[in-house]
Amino acid sequence: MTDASRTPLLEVRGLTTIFPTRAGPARVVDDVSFHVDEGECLGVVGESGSGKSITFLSVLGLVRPPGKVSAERMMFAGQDLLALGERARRAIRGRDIAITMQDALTALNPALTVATQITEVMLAHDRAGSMDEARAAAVEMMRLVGIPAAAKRLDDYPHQFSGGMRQRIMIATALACRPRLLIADEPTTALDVTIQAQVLELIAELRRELRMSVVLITHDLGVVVEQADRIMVMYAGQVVEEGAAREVIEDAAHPYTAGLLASMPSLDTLDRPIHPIRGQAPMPGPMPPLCRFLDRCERTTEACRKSVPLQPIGGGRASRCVWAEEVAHG
Amino acid sequence: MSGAVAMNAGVQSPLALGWLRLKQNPMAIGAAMVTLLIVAAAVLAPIIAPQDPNEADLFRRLQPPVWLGGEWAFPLGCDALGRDILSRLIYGARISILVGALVVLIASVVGILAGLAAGYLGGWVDRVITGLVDILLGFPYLIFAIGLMAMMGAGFQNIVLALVYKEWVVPCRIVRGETLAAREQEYVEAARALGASRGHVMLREILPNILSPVIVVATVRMAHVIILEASLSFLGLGVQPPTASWGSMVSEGREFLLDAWWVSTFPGIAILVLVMAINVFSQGLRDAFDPRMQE
Repeated sequence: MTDASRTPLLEVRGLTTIFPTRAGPARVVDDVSFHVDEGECLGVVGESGSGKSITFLSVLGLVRPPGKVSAERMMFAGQDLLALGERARRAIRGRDIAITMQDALTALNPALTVATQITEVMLAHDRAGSMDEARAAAVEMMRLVGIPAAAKRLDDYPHQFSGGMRQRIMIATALACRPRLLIADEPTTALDVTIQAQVLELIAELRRELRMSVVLITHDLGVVVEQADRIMVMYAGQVVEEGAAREVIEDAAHPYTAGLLASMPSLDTLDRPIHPIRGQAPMPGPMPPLCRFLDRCERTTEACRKSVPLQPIGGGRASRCVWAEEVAHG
Repeated sequence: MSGAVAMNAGVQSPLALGWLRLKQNPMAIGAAMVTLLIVAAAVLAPIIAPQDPNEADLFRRLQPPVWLGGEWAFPLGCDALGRDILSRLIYGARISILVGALVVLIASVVGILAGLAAGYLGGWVDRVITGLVDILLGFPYLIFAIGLMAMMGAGFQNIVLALVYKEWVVPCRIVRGETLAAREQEYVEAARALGASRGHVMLREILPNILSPVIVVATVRMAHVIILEASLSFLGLGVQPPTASWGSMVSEGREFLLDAWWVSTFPGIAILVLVMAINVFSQGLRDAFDPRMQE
């Protein structure tokens, strides 16, 4: 199949989310376009505040006023999300598109039992006819995400589970309705390394088993390398690079991606020093029409002092850098 | 005992844990028992009251309590109409407790709903509700109630209404504040992300998390409402005679304070004991259930 004949599961074009700030409107998501194919894993990378999470909250319709979301196109499984009312958007959330929140320690309601939290999603979306049915399905979900003695622990409260287990329970609530797209927002941030690997393996396994697409939001390139088919790198609300995961990692075509890679410790190159990216990500607020990475970049020239568009550089890849070719092959 | 609490900590809901802590507080348990005793007396009034509370007999006018030369049939003496004070006290408890419980219950339901709506929905809903709350807070409670009673007329139903009109403000403010904090919690965002409606988020996600301060405050307020009811009855704006109420009993006896102190004093003590018992109990509740009081 060629790319042209295949309709992606989720297609977003020109997504912009604006929050008013004292300095003026901040475009925290600025003209972002992407797509997620059926069964694909898209890795979304960027440092804190780059707009990764808010991009997908915008897609789900979860941005609260005064935030304003607009887009040229937002299609999910043949449905135009922009044309749907709030009720229809809500019906899609949790049932067709589910999201797991960054911090599993706080994303579960401390006052409700795990059973309540998993079954409620199913009952709300009519995926279970009765409470008994929902509880049986909840036990199955908990088993699926690898919680030992699931049936026994069904009526426990979140504080009685460890961090890794809570992350699994959150994944179980997100998957309760067998969504077609799972957005995993920093699924491993609050976990230690061994548990991280388990949770990632779990997501990969469930993806195969339930044949769902996954968006993996993370600031950890290592996580993305192993899981994602494609990568989208975000910086200051914009997509700065995208392409097939392996190619982007091996051959970054934007200085920011290159910088992220250079600042990552690696077992193969222990002797090489780690290069942090100098400076700090810009504060959200009105931005001048310049390359946003300008003052942190090592390649800055006069040619960079303008607004740089995201340009295709061949092979399904794109970069928002004047020097894309040189960065990639230099 | 504390070992048992620690061991159970792993398998108990927050509510069950609070209950466990409450049971270890002797003051609170004692206060709860006093309160329950008065409630039981109110409920069982027809059975345990020695006399008919409204049966007057001028031959017994201002008869002293039994230890001052009265008779055992009227242990706490009689009032100016010769009615048995003990029986009137027992029946009067019904009014105090019923008004206290009803007002706090209705005010809590109204206040919780209004507070949730104001805190979670925000916008004009919040502005309208907080505006109303601010206006109501501007009136002194008793003056407000007196004014309302004067307009609506005395009577049991009107006392409850008059007090509810202002009382709901208290739970409303607490719930609004707690909701403002809770709505920013990640679990609320997570629930929304899984397709929860606004009503669901407010009632099923937020409310269970903020309920314990509301319950604690409701008990304190009950004591407060009982005093207000007594004050209204004292001023003659409460339940109408001959129905016994502690406030009106104090009022009826005040002309005879020097000759027959027992007419006013016993209902006064009854108010004091009930209000104190409720307050001590609610203090215990707070220690046991308020998460900020722990550790």
